[in-house]
Amino acid sequence: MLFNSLEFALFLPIVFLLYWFVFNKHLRLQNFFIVVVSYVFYGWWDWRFLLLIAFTTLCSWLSGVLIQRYQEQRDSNSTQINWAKIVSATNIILNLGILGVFKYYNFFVNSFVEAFASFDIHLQPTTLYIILPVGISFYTFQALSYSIDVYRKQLEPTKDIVSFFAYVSFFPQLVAGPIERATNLLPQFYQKRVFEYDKAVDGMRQILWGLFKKIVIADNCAVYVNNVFDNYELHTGSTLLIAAIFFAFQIYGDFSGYSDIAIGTARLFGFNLMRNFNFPYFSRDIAEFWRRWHISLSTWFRDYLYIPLGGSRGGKWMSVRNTLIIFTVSGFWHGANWTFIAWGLFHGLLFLPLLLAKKNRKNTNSVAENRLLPSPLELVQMGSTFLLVVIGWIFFRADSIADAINYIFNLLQWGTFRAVYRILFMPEFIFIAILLFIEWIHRIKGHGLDLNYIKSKPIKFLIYYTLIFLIMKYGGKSADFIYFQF
Amino acid sequence: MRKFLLHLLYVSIPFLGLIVSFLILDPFKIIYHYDNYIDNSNVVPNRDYVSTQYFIDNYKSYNYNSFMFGSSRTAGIYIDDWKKYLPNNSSPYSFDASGESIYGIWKKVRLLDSLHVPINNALLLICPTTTFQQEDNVYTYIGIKHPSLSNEYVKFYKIHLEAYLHPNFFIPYFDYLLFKKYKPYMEGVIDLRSVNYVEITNDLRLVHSDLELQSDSLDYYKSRENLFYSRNFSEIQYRQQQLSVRQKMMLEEIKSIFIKHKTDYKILITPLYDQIKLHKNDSLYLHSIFDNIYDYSGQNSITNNRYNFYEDSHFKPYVGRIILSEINK
Repeated sequence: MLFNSLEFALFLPIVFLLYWFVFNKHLRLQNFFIVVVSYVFYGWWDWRFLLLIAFTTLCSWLSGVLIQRYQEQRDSNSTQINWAKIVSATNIILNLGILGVFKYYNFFVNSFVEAFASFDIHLQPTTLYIILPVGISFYTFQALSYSIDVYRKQLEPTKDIVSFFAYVSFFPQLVAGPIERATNLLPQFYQKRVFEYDKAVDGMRQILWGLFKKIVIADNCAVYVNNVFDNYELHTGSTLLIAAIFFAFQIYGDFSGYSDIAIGTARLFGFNLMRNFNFPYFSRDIAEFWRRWHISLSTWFRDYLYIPLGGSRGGKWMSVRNTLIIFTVSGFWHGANWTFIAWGLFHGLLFLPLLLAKKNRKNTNSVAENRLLPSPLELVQMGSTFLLVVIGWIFFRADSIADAINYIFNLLQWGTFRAVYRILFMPEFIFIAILLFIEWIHRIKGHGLDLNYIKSKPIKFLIYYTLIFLIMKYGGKSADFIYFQF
Repeated sequence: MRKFLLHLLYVSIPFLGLIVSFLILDPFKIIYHYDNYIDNSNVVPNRDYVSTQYFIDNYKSYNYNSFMFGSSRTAGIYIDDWKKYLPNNSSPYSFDASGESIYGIWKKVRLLDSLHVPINNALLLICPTTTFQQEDNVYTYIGIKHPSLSNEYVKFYKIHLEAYLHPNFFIPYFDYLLFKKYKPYMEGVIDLRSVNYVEITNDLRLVHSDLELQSDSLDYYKSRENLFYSRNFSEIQYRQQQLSVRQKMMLEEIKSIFIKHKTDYKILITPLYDQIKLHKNDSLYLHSIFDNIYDYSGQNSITNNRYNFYEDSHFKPYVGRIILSEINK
């Protein structure tokens, strides 16, 4: 079920009312209700994959129980085989195995075949017709973090299977994140939720802002972007540049819009999800961009890959190696294509100079803090960071690395920058300008429509109705969320 | 909670109002029952819904047994003219739809069969540009099929509600409803052109074009000069191949139902101003399935003359009479 659909517009109020008025008497019943509606939400897309998510959840829950039991036994008898480690490793292999089969099997087969073909050895591969289950990368990582945290003794394993199923399948963030940690979300299922007016109102605002970003920004930009990227050879440099810029806003509107709707929806049900985006296009360098973009994934890789690999503890070169590894893996996480790997590596290479110069934590505050406008230097920093990010997005969006490189070469034609002023007269640009203006005002707030500081109700209502009107009037052609495929 | 729900209600009032108005006003005439779909309606109708609903409401009363299928090209063949070539006991019905596809024709033939309605005679109009464009339902409020055909009841009403809730629809709709004055921005939503559907036979008549032609035929064509572009083909032009596996299956099933009903059918490939013929393979496939195929696409005496057309796609009723006389020789 898509957030931007009439089905969800009916589903949400029904679930909301049942949750607070019918199932609010017993916590366990309320959690069970969350599992049921989450499975309905997911099964709306394809019910067959409910078995897969149920299997993943069950394995991770069992692994938690077993890890604790074996750890207790080993604590009393240290000579015993480390079964806890074996169970944890098995669960990781199982989860990554499922992810690998569904997401990467054909990619690896085809890559091997191509590699052998370059040595004139022609293999007859067996590729499978595999449908990628929506959101598999998200819930797999969420389930993995639980068993790893239990193994590390950072989290007490839960015996409450209903709460655990609710944690993995919680519908607002099930298919496209934020990738929640069990340490943050799971305990919230143990506590009785109390309806809070301010939290619910803010949640509704965040949903509205998310819908604006998805429906007005992303879906409108998508039309132009798809037309250009699908036939990039036919277009001039300025058109290619505009399409690349629009794609930067399409993917931001699409993904951060989803996160806003997810976080806002969770707030309606009394849950706090982690922040996933923090106005990334106002970043002054790439390191800051990665502290503000897809935060739940970046921190996941930091905690479960970068640090276990040694992080920056082994000196400069180990730090460089580990940085390149997590950026590359992060790229690969997005999809089974060399373009994603190139995108990750590209960002890793942009990050390295900052790391080596120890300037990767230079910009940890908000830009133009306590000021209305940025300084000229900050403006240049933000603009150059944005342009680098846009180049990265070309790799991300292109069908192949060759296409991405050709796209960039074609973009750098004579006249590219002379004709790019056309963007000022495009409706997509006006929507983007509205987005940037509102986000700039709220850049130190929790989200783009954090209006708690406005006391006047008429003004608030005016803002709501304006956004709703824009969504209804200028809503682009309804499209799936890009990140569903990841 | 009470305060939150009240605030939510305040914010939602305009939308709830719109939904209630949709239910009360029924702008697309899809909620309530109507004897007539023309009167008091200034909204562009879903022609598939009108044709199908009118048929369902009346087939028992009028004992329809002869059917003309196709898109708005059927406006070129009056049922009264066709009836002259049918047996005396015939009760013909124009079972057309806007931009009708083979999917729509297939579904309609199946509906007739399932309702045990005899299909004694059939005239199937294949438009080279529209009939094979789609192999499935079309999800726009103008194009979506009647739910009795598609079985997609929820989607049908959802599509119409979504269309209604769009400001591009409800703003011109209410503007016209309140002030009764047509403005250019209402184009596509409000249609004041006179289109006539003949009662009982559901025959489509492009009255607005006929009236315009009657008043000044020279000006009519002058104002449409861009539609009647010059065509100087040195050789026969063919369209790209269109027929898919699924569409072939639909054609085969239509044929088998015709055989079951012992239908006296005729397949008419309609004339188009562009003079581009169906792809040879598509044409061959049609001939492998059906007999009695009459191809008026491409270059011929009808398509050579722009005055045989209302615009580039709809031929005039007198052309229809010529065609009927030729195919019934």
